[in-house]
Amino acid sequence: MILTYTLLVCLSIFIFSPFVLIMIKSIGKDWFGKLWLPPTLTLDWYKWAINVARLPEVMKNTIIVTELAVAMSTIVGIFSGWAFGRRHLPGKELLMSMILLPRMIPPITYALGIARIFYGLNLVNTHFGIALAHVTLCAPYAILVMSATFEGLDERMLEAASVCGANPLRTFFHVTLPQIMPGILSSMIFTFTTSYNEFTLTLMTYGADTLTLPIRTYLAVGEGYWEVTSAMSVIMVLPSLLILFLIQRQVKPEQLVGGFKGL
Amino acid sequence: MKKLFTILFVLAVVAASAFAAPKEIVFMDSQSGANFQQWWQTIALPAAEDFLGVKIKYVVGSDAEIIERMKAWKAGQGDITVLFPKSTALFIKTSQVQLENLTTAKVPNMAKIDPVLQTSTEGVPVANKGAAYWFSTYALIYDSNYVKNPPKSWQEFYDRRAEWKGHIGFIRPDAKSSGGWRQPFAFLNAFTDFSKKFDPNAADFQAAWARLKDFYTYCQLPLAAEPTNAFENFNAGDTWITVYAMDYSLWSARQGTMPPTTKAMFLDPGIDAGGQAYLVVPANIPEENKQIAYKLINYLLSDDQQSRLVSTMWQYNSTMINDKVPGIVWEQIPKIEVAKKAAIPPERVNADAIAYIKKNAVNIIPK
Amino acid sequence: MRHLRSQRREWLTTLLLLLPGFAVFLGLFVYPFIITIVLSLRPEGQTTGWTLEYYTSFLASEHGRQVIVLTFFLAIATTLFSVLLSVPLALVLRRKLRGHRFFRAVPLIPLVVPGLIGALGLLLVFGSRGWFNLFIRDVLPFIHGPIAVNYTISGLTLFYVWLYFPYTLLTTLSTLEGLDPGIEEAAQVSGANPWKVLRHVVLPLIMPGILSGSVLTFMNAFGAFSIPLVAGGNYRPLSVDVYKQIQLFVPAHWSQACAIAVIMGVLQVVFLTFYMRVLRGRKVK
Repeated sequence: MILTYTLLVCLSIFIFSPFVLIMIKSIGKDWFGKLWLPPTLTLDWYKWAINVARLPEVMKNTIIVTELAVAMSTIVGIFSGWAFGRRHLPGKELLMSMILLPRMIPPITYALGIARIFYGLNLVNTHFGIALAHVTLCAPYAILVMSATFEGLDERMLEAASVCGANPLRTFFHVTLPQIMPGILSSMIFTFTTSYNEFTLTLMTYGADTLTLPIRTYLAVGEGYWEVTSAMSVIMVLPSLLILFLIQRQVKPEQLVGGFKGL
Repeated sequence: MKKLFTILFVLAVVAASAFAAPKEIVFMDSQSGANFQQWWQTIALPAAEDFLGVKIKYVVGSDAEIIERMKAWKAGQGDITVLFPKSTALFIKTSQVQLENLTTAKVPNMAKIDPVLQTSTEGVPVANKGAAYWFSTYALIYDSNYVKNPPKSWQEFYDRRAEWKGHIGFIRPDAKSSGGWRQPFAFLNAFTDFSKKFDPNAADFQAAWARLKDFYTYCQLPLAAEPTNAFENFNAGDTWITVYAMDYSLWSARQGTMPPTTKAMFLDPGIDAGGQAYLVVPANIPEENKQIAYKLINYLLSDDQQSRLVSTMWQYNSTMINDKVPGIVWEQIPKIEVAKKAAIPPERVNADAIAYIKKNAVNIIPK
Repeated sequence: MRHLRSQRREWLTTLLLLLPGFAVFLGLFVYPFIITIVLSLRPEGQTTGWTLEYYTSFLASEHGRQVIVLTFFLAIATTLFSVLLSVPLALVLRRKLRGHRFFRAVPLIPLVVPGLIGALGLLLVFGSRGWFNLFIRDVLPFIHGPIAVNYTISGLTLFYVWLYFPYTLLTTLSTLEGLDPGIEEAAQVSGANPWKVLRHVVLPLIMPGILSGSVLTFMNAFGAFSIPLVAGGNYRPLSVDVYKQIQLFVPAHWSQACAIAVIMGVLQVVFLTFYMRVLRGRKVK
């Protein structure tokens, strides 16, 4: 029994310690030599991140890109989910596995192609361009979630609505939409975290005017300023952890893993 | 009539507001590290904004990206007013981008720049395509906590190497940072004559190369991949003595990101000078912006600004105003004359030797 | 007649609904991939002419082979250690001890944080003055420290495991929990001790789950980018090598980068096919 708990506690320490250290590093000063904790605490590094690394601007870029990506992915998800979930489609399984291909193939392999295309279309260094690149990774998730949602749609309610005389539009807004809303929300959460944390594709399509948080944090690593890098990392990782904390009861862990049905 | 007056009035207001709105120009920077990003954004550019009455937008970029951007500009529509490149030589060499000629007629304070700095950069003639803003120098950086009596020359450093075995912080010669080749170059320069034509098989070079190989075994192993790793070792107290850019190290010590006991000094016969950084003005921008650019550069080269540069950032000023710098600065860092004397002279900056080091030094580092 | 017409309309609507999805898939994935392949076959910086030199020079060179071996090594080692870690963990977590909700949420964390941040934190923890080495210095003084973890191959594998073991763990756990408890009970009733039950009954039954999870871990480890970029030091797997071709050279070596990227993509597709086979095999069971 003790062995079991030791194992679990060691695992937790293994998982949590990186974050704890990042947090401490972001508020520590004069931490030289081999000490467990920094002798002085300070907010200087956060101030630096805000004033010199211009975090507010970076956050603004990140949010704009993420919103665009989430919006586009959700729309794609709804349309495709409807088709997969409710319409007769031969070879549906094959199509579904194909849709997930961009997530299974390492993005770096096709990021080069995306970069070249975007250079030609002048989409590099634009918020829309980066969001579009993110859609490649976000749309599969959205489609997956929405297909499952649409499949679970209660046919009888729709029939009842049409029997009562509602036209298709009304049916959609008053009957369908409320039913699929949880799915839309779930899809939006997944696409949000995917886009917010996205690094590889952004690295190939960003420019001086469209720095996002992951990119700025990476650049800070290159500058060697570990304290400021830690401050930016803390700000970057908080939303993901928050969302995890909020949804960890609702979501089935297997969905996070890759969403293959029948797993 | 009333209608005409209204239209004229509206037009006048619009025109007035267009003039009244502060002009904004873009200052693009691909040269500055963390320390100078702070300098530009919190000290130099705000002061310039007040002085010139224009808004200056500070943007960080990279050379490759900036060149692509400039190539795509339509005639006279460039959106970068002043550029501070990492490698001015690259911009001068690239034929598809044009830089404005900066003369004393346009920027009077350029007359104060040390002429040596305006001759060439990285082997490419400057030809007034840029105005030198600072010159940066490497120095022996050491933690006075552990190193009470630092060496004064490379020979002494080599002779006393056992004293600091395992605590010398050299970086890998194949690092992205130029420090990778500058460190071994400065070392070799002390033991061989680089003003002669480079011959890797000459006896004296072979002897120096063997010394370098031996010296690497006394460094902290494995060799740090990049300067940031070397600094991490320095902060951990594992590395006590290294060779790196003086301005960054001393500034970091003051910021609290390197130990407060960090000190800098020069080694005989020379430490490789880090090089100059230039302010350049692209040629393909609106004429109005060019005028503002000249005024901005002139301001940055003014006595007051240059004095601030060296006293705040420990980076040597490009203009010859050292009598105007407060004396206390020279208690922290060696005087400019000492720094210039410590710089390896241009005739010894042997391009062939550097190429040889870049290619082969990886082979003599300890596995 | 009307039946046919409405059937055609059905098809049209379905097609229209699928249009955005297809547009994204084709325009943002297939087309870029094609561009990557085309670029890899062109001489650097030119728009005409074909050449295989970037493939041959990479595959024939010492450097290229080292990179491929390194990538494989990291992926295999990560998968192995993930399995070794996940199976005991799954067995433990299934028992629903006190606080198991919390312990179940813990492995989810590496899934939702970007690899970059995980790598940075791990570099801090395992550095020469990180808590790992301080722990050894203060609590386990008989171990001669400091132990170099960062920028070593074993350290890098450790970082990979941190990020990718949850895939194996979660699938193993879900398979384990999907087992019919009756089977284990039956085995125990017939007199087998718990270890025997584990080895001969449980493990074979959950093997498909372990397998599919470990293939996921393998594929992710093979394609890992941000971790080796930041924490790899001198170890550059395929993904980082691709990026370095673009970043380190001016003008960038697009063709060489694309060639390496295609090699990587092809290898990954091979694994993917294998993975689908495994999945389908499970379904048949």
